[in-house]
Order: sequence, then structure tokens, then C-alpha cells
Amino acid sequence: MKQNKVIIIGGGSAGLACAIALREKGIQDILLLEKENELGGILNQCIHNGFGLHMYKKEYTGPMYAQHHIDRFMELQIPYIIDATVLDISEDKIVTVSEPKGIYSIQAEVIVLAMGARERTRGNIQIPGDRCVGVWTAGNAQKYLNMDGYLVGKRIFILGSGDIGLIMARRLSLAKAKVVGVAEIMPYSNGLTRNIVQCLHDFDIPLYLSHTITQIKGDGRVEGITLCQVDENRQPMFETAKHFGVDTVLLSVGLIPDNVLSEKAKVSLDLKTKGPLVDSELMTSTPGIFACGNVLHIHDLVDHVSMEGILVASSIIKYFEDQDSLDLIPVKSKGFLNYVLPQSINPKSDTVLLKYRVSKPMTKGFLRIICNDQVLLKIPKVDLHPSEMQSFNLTKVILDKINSNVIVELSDE
Amino acid sequence: MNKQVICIVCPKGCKVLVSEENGVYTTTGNACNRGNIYGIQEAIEPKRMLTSTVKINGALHQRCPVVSSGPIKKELIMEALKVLETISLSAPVTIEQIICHNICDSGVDILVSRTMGKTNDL
Repeated sequence: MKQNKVIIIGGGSAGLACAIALREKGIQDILLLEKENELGGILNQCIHNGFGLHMYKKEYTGPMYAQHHIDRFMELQIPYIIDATVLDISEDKIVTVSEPKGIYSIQAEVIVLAMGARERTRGNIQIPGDRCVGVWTAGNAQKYLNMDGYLVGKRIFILGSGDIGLIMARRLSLAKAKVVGVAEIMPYSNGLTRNIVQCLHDFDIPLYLSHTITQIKGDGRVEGITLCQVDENRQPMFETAKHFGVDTVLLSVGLIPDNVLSEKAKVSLDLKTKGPLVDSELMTSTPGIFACGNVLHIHDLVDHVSMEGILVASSIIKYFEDQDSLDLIPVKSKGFLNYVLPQSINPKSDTVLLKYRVSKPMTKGFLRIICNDQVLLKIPKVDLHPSEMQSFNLTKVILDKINSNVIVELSDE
Repeated sequence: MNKQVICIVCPKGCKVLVSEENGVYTTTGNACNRGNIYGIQEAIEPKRMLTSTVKINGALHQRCPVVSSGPIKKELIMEALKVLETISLSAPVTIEQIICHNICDSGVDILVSRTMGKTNDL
């Protein structure tokens, strides 16, 4: 059987950043597998600017950011295969791939999961109504428009106010489609303020907060939708029904980490993040299998994805030096937190970057790191929003005080 | 003259009221000075970065992404898009190659935002 020291699955920002960092640290035997016909991942279709503010202090467009990674990757002559679909990963790290030269298996010492995420669809959120043409996920419509030059509709309603939905509202308006409105089931927007202003206000597109689509109508093609306000339990109030004549509905209702392959390798998943359970080295429950980027948890900023790829590269180097497994210390979240990552601390880690998302918007709050009923740290936080991932670095000084279960708590006092 | 602007400099999103009296602009509601600068610029002459795509022949995709070299006056954006519709590129193109100088006399150039090789070179 063919053998590789490190196999990276996915050639988007996480996979590329990890491959580059590994090679720069002296690992020669790397193979990156990409299922699309070019490297770069989702960035290639995100033609708007605003990427790279943290890592490069620039506002690159998506393709420019990807190119930055790709150029360095090529310069380092790292082996890769495009049009390569991974069919299976086994627990003992055998990767089965289908690529233009055939179907075969490769034995890896280390596997990096960097497959990214998929969009939630109409099926995931179960919108009642006719099964007609014209209901698209926002990312799919983005790919058609920005890469193939195909506009999905002329009068469009968008469900979900996440950044992809907002970016598409502007993009479609610039392409001369009429965006009739954007609906958000929550009482607050899930997108960045700059996107609300530059994508909706600039084009006079109304944002309906606490609203959802309760019906899609159409014979063959979408003809219209029914929009209802929702109560505090997010249940539609049908007496508030409004009808809009549109030919297209775009869904921007969230991303799900793509872990079909991870499950085949018996990697344990977290019900909250929908990604693998990882320790502070970003190693999964299967030794030698690591995860980074959107396959691990959904990110708002590509810089954080790249940084996770780089962190995995450092962890792999440590793993090759010393594979003795130490007892992991579980990390639990409490209070107004949706999740905390990593789910455990590896005593080998010198520092631990805790990442978390709040469960509701808060103008101020306090983050506590608790171990053995003792508050090790209490950090005041301001302007917290569920759509913005937060992070906090646990230094060696704090880690030395941690010897059993850690609780990360966010409260309003 | 009064104008209400939502500041986009940071995630806080301050509601900034920009007032003008005898050519002097003042702001209220902003938490920091960056909000002052942004608010006044937005009241006097709003500008935006322009990103779009243009037709390309002989490449892996039908469209090539483009970006403006700097922010362009908001009122010129639709006109600039019309100009971009008339441009047709042939692969190969190289990242940051200028495809339109001083679009609509805005003082801003349009660049391709990625390298695209010829399909038969791939």
C-alpha cells in the first residue's frame, strides 16, 4: 500500500495553512487531497473584500486571500491531487481516495481533517409548501453567479441574516436582481454590522427581524412566499401573515461541519459544535487524527481558520516527537455559552486558546475559568454577540493551576 | 443638515448623528474618534469598495473576479458596473493586473483579484 506521513483532506484555507506550516517546520512527506478542480476552497467564490484583517492587516477579496496561500503552497512544492474525493478513512488511518488516476488506499501516520462545512438546506429547516424550482442555498447561488455567471432569479427573498445571506443580497442587487427582503427568525441579526449597513441599507432592502417563511408557493417555479412574525418561542403568528411575489428564495440558515468522513474513522463528535471533540492540540478522539477550520466548528473569519491550520501543524510536530498519551482534563461550558472549544485540555499544551460563542447578545458579561470550585480567572467582557466567535488565551501560569475538570462560565454579573 | 449614520468601524455599531453648520461637521453618539472620521466621510461623500466579476474566455471558470484599487464614490457604482459588463478577458490573467484605468473618472482602477491560467495549460 502507498504510504504518506501526513494526509490532509481538503485544500481550502485550513488545509493549505496546515500544509504550508508543516512544510516550513520540515515535514517533507505530505499529501493534500482536494475534491474540487482547483485549490482554495470556498474563498474562490467569495469575491467580496474584507478577508485577512487580522493576519495580513489587509482587506483582501476571497480569491486574493486564497491565492496568497496557494502561491506559497506551490513555492514549497507540496504534493497534492485535485478532483480527488476521499471515500473512506479507517480508524487505523487508511485513506481511500478516488481521483482521475484511479481508486486506491493510502496508509497515513497522521490525518488532518479540513473538509469544511455544508450549508443547511430547505430539508434541514422544513419550510412547508410546494416543491418547486427556485429555492437555493445562498452559497450555491453565490457559486453560480460568481464563477459561472449564472443569476438564479430576478425577484428574490432571502431567509436568514447571516453574513452569507447579506453579502448575497448586495451581490444580487449589483447584478440587477430585486431583493425584496431578508427575514431573520431571531430578534437580532446574525450578521456583522458593516454587512447590515453596506449590503442592506445601501440598497434599501428591508430586514424583518423575528420573522420566518411559513409557506413557499409555486407551480413548477417559485411564485411567492408567506412571511409571518414569530412569538418569543419562535412559533409563527399566522394572523401576521404577509405575501410576497418572488421567483426565488435564498436560504442563509447556517452551516454544518462536514463530518461524514470523520464518522467513518470513528471520531467522536460534539452535539453542539457538530464537529469532532478535540483536545487543546486539536487532536480528535482517534489518536493521530487532527481537525481544523469549519469541519471543527463554524468560523466567522478566515484568519481564525488559517490560524487553526497552523496550530494543528505545531501539534503534529509534537505528536511525532512523543506519542505517549496523558490524561486529558475535560472542559465544560456553563451559563450563557453555546459552546467552548477545545472540549479537553492536553497537559502537553503550553498555552490553550479557548474559543467560545455566547448564546444571546450581551452588552457586558463576565467570563470565569473555574477549577475545583475555585475561580482562577474572572474576565470582564463587553459587546458579546452570538455571531461573533470569542477567544481567550490560557497562559502557562493558569494552566499550572488546572488539575481537574475546568468549567468556563459566562454570566451577567 | 443632520444625518444619522451607523458606524461600521468596529462591531459595536454606534448610531452617529452627523450635524453640519456653516460647513463645520460635528458628530454625537460615537464612542470613539474613528466613529467621528467615518461619520463625517459618510455624510459628505460615501464611498465603497467595488467587487464584481467580468467575462473571461479560455479559463477554468466563465467569470473572473475583480476589485477596485480603492473605495469609489457610491453614486458611481452602478455606472462602473455597466463599464465592467463591456469587458471580456482572455486567459491567462495575473492577480492585480489592471483591466480598466480610472473607471468613470473616479480615480480608481479595476484589477483582477486572482490569477487564472489557460485551461489547456492546466
